[in-house]
Amino acid sequence: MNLQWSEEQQLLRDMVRRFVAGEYGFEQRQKFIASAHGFSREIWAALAELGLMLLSFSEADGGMAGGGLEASIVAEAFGQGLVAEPYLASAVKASTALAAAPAGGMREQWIADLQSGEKIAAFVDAPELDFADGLTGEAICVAAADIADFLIVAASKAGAPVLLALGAGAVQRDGYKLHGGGTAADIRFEHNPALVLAEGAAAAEILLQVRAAGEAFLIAEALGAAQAGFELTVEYLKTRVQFGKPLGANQALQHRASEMFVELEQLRSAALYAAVMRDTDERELAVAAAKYVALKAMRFIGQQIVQLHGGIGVTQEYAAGHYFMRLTAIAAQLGTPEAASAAIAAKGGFTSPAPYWESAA
Amino acid sequence: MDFSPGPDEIAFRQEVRAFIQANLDPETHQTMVEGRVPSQAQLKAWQKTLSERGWAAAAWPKEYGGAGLSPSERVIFMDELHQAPAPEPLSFNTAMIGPVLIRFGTEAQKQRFLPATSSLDIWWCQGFSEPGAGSDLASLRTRAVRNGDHYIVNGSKIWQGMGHHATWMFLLARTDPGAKKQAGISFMMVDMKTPGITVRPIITIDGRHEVNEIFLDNVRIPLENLVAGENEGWNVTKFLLSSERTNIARIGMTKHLIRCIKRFGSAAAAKAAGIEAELKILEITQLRILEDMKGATAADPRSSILKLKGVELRQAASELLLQVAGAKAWRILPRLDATPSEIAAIAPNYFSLRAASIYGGASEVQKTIIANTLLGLKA
Repeated sequence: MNLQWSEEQQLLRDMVRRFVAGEYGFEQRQKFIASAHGFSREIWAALAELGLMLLSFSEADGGMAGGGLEASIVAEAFGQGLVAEPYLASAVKASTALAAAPAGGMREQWIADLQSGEKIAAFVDAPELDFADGLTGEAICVAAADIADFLIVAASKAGAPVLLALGAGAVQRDGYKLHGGGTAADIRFEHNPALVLAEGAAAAEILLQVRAAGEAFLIAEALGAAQAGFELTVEYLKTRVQFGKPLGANQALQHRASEMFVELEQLRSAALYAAVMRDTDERELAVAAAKYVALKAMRFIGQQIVQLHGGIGVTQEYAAGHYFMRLTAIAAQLGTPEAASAAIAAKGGFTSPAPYWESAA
Repeated sequence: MDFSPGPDEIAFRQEVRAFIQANLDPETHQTMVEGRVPSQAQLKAWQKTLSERGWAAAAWPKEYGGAGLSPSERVIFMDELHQAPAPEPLSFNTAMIGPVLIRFGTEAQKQRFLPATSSLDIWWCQGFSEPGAGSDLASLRTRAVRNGDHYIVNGSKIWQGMGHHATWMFLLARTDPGAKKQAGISFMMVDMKTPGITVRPIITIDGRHEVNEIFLDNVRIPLENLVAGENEGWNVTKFLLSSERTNIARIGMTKHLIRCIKRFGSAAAAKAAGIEAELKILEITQLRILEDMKGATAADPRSSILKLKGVELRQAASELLLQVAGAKAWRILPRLDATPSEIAAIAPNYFSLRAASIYGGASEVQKTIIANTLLGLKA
């Protein structure tokens, strides 16, 4: 057991936090998401400059061999700053898929293009898509697919999993901005030729890795957003005066804030657990458990950030409401607590029904 | 960062488990498996066994008969007891008066009380709450008036768990009625055989006799039984309440309940998945807090999270267990403590566990502690 962050991890955290605090203030962020593509190319280039596009790749591929913890450090800082750049789609999901794919073909060129930040990739998780005479079918609301230069697609070929890559230019895409920041596209594939990166069991394993990495990232991002929104809320309770005293002098509101704090600490543990376990064989059960806890926590914290702020919490001009929207959007990507608990049950949970001394032998 | 236990932790867990398997009386084990309340004799025998191994008061320093376990070893130790399941050592002895005497007691008090406290030859009860002083403990009214080399004590105390088995009581009494609420309180110990002490049983909603009310009528307590100085009882109390906090999540107990739920089949097991998830994540929270407490002298106020969430999950599991057990769980058996029936204990345990969010600082009090100390929100 070891609960220490390494020195490199602490340096990474300091660096990303400093960058977000300096370059991604709330006013700037609002300008970025209002711009034509919903994000800033300058920020994207700066993130590449900082080396953050290298985290998902092994040293052999010219990367920095970051694991779940490194990704969660970036995610938490991005959550705090409500960063809307397509990092999860391109630098985590598509990059994790390419990193895990066997060498050869265009793979090395694409990796180089992602690492330099010159190109952006989106990941399409759509096993219902059929790859027979080219790739055919629809996928809706694919994050960053509108701005992507190429797509990594988890589809099926004759009923078996297949991992594909193709340029985005030839694909029919209907792009739009999303509530809570970021962009997406509805995609229509019509016999689009694609390169096979992996097939069968190998493709299935890569998809599980990508999903776990994506979910662990989202939970850590939610932690950052919840933390920042919570701090804003506690500050508001201390300074906003009604009935002749600060709001925070009222026990009902003190208790609500305490409940938020308890959920926030559970969310922190969930993010840590998912980040550590996503790279292990136990990833499916562990990430499902983290997800269940995180979903309940982020819903409660998000809604209370707005409620305790009162009217100012539902305005566009103030950050509180944006934290709520971001938390809600992240939750939508993670699914429902019911689905997470069904996944836990399907894996048998953590506790065996057998008497302890038999089950723990 | 790595959550998997290291070789030392694995070895320690195996050592504890092997000891429990080899030494826990099978009847006591069966009593615990079925969720019934162990008898006085069973509890005494088990604590004696633990005491001989140095594990009854596992957290005490070795010089006082403890095992000097680290916080993480203590968590493993309690987890093994809870999951076995085996009875905990009596917390009034090992988690309350013991640490208080080690910290505040005179050499004579330590010599006299600590060995018998660890072995349960002295059975302690806690004389803190009063009918008029619950969450607002400092408003207590039991009076102690000095008379020569004794205090004459009058008043009443309530909620003494297992108080009918107790041979000694530690209590708080007001020694300076003129001082500010917290300032006039003293901490003292009394032999339960002292004339003037009456114990009245209170039967709780689970049908069991566990708690009591104790009346003190001109009870003479020798001055040598005062712990710390006169009117310094509140400091002792704060220390006692905080030293109680390392084991409050009781995660292993909830795991035992989940095991019971799962024996009702896969549909029942599926309903427990959410509680299992929250419990797994609470274990991580507990590890994080223990890690931050390494080498710290004061209790971490985030321990309140462990109490709040730990109790919430234990109550949720006991409620779900009652639900999946169905109608069979509702039959009252004439002698619950003597009936070998797991299902008969399910409803009483659910009723009884409602008290877990009340004792040891009600959940509402924990929330106020978090707001005041961690968030800086004050009235």
